[in-house]
Amino acid sequence: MIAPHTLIKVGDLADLKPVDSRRPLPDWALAMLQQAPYVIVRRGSQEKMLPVGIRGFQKSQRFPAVLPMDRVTPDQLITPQQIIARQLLRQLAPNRLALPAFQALQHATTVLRDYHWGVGGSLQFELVTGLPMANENSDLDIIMDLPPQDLSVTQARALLQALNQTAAHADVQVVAGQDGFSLEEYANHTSHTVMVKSAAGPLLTVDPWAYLRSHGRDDGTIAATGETD
Amino acid sequence: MEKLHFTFKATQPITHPVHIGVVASGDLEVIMRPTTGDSELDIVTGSDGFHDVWQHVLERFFDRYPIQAKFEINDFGATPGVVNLRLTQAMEALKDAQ
Repeated sequence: MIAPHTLIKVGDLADLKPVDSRRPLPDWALAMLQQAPYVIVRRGSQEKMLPVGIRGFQKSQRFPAVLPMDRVTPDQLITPQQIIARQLLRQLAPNRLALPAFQALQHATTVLRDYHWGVGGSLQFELVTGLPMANENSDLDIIMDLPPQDLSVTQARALLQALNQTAAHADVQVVAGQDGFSLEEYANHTSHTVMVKSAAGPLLTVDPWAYLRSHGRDDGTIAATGETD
Repeated sequence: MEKLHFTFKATQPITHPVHIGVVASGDLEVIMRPTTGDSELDIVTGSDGFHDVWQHVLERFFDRYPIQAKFEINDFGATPGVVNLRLTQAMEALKDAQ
């Protein structure tokens, strides 16, 4: 299983196919791939084809595509966690590091010292490709591996508060395998259920921690079709 | 960014406000407040050009649940599956709150 949010450096752009053959890759996507041949793994079945997304500079520029699984090798992959482990933030130019979201990321490296985590979204894309993807309004998307112990609602609130001390909004998704849920939703507790995004689509559960512990680890061969994100 | 507005005839008033979902990419938040007139929906979405998809999702929702409320929806690129699930969850929260 290749985890959602993993970036893939595409070896041969001809391998990349649109999800719907009647809807070919738009011009902005082709131009983007010429600049940086990276795609992001989306949730969904990975049986023969890997669901991926192409990302453009605009927020509305997102395009779903697929890559044949047998054309993807481990050396092409970079996970959100590897970006933190390799300290890619240190290579960032000072004017980029000054952006609120990168400031928030730098702050997060202290707050999340005891967790296994990574960075997703526009910051992830910028840190890997070197392209200026983040802007003044970017959020910090944190991808946190399911910790050994569940967090209580109180602990989750404290952690989110500690992360949100800078100008950018810090969002935490707790993940295991292809499953993930929003720590903020769990902490807000406005409903007795929490949404879990899974390879087979979104679902509601009363205890997202228990769901991730029982399902998240071995969903390598889910025969899911249709809904992904 | 696009702002959408919809109006639906509704018969089931709510007594408490409900706030579901989160501000996060691929997600959305749904806020429902009590109202006395038709159900008015104000939607702010990061994905342009989805008026007809919203129309379809909401028609199906109001067919099942003619909820009389003022809706505020902030969409951050959620899939129709996530939208449906959040609306379902809002219905559950309403039941809990009434």
